[in-house]
Amino acid sequence: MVSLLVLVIAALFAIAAYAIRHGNAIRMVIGLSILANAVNFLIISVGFKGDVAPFVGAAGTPADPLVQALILTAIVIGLGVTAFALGLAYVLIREEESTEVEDFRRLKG
Amino acid sequence: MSLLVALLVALPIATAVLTLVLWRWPVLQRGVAVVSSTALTLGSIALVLQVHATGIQIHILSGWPAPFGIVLVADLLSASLVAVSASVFLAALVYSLGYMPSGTTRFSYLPLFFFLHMGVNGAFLTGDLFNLFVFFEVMLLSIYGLVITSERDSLISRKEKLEATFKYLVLNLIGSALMLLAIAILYGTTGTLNMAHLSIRIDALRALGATHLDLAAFLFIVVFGLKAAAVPFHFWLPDVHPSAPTPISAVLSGILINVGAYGLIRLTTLLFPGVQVVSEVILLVAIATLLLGAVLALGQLDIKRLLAYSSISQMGFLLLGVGLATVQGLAAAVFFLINHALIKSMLFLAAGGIMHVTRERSLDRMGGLARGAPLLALTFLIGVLALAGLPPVNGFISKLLVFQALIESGRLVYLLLALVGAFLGILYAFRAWLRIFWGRGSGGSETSVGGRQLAPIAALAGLCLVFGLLAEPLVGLTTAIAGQIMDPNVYIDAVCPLTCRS
Repeated sequence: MVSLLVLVIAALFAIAAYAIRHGNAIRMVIGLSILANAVNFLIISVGFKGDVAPFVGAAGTPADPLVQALILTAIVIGLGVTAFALGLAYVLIREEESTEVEDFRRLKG
Repeated sequence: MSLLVALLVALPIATAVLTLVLWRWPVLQRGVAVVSSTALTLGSIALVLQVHATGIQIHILSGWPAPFGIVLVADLLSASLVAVSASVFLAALVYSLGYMPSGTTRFSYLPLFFFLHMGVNGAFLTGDLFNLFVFFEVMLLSIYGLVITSERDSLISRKEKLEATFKYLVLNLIGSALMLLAIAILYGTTGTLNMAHLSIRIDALRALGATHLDLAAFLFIVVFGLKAAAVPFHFWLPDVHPSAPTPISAVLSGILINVGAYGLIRLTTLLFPGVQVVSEVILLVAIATLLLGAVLALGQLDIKRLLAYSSISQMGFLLLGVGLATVQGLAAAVFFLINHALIKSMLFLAAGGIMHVTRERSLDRMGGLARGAPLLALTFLIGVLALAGLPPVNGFISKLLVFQALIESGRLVYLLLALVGAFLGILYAFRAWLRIFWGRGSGGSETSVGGRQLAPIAALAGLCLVFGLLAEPLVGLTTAIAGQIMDPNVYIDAVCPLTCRS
């Protein structure tokens, strides 16, 4: 189970890195959302001490319930931030009349 | 058990919700905001006095004691930083009421302003690592909204605001992912998220030779360094800080980068105390930040961008103190932190006043403002003296303490480089002042700047002078802070003396 998760996490990280590097504002937001989910999977995998549902008195080693509470919080935050990011990207693309971040050149930084 | 600690987080949320509900009654809404912000300032000062008198205050949330539940911890460092932040927030709020158009303050500005306040207070006070992440996100989401708010003078185009916010958002989303990664490493190895408990377990595991925990330390340096605009993660700051409305620029440069520095202080004193390699990395980053910020500030023509680059340079001085990891170094860093918050927020508010009078952002098209705007000239001069590190203002004492700490640790190369940075600081600070206030130019009169804008500038400038001339009590406080955080056992014993040690 854990080795499957590791493969999924690695694939998600790779997809996220590819999408963020691509330079298209919408793909960037999608990539960031995938990155957040890759990290969520990673946190879940940390809690895989056993595969029994966690409650007091379970037979066998239960999975760690705390990490599940953590990623629930992370998912909710991720949802809010992604919604805002998509809205921002939409306004930005309309204002700049381009989807490529290469064209957003007002700031040299 | 102290209710005051919890109130400092709860009151900003309550105010944010209340200002949202009261959008129909703008006068009442503004009244609530000012009363609440004043109460927060007074409450946080009371907390500093309480912590100073009776020791570290903790508040256990929802009845689960540490390390099982989340605790809010106010030690001298947290309490002092909350007090300074609350003062800067109050100044920025009063300035906003005279400056921001009432259409925007009614709907989004005031509620987001208090959500940001809550995020900052929470980040300083929480004793739980994951909770710190949550407060960071609350802070960041509010900032995104506040930076794109349009202001009255509209010298900054909408495009610029959107681009800056997008850049900031992308960087911080990557930063958040890295922070969660670091939290996962720490939790996976130690099985706890309480910072006091983590301190004990990391120490024990490192003593057994678990070097992979250092990876988490470096991830945290990246995450907090991004927030503190340390080189090489500094490049967003000169876009985001100037693009924000003036009072928000003041809050960002005065407080938000301090949150990153606070994270680094906790990292080097509580989570990974005495880890040589972490301190050395911070020292290297600090000196690069200091020099690069100062050199880039020299070349700026935009008044707000110049101040933003100077913020980067000043963060370098501060991080030098953190990286030294000695009592003197930390005392200097905390002194610097408190005073830079006052100096830079005052300078940004004054820059807003200057931009309002001249309708210009570029130093090239300013000049001769000293006649028409004597009060702005005087307060800006105080800020410039402080940035340059000259007496009789607080910036002099903070640089002096950093240099002293460097000498006492025998870091003479760093001292030499820091002196070069300080010299560049004199150049860029006075270049700005001379260009704006002396010489020929259209001038202009500050009578169009309202009292609600001038009063906070004057108050902050007054504080800069007071802490420069009567620095002794503040130096005493910061030395006490450094003494308290240098020994992690003080923090651990206050948070969970029995359960964590077993």
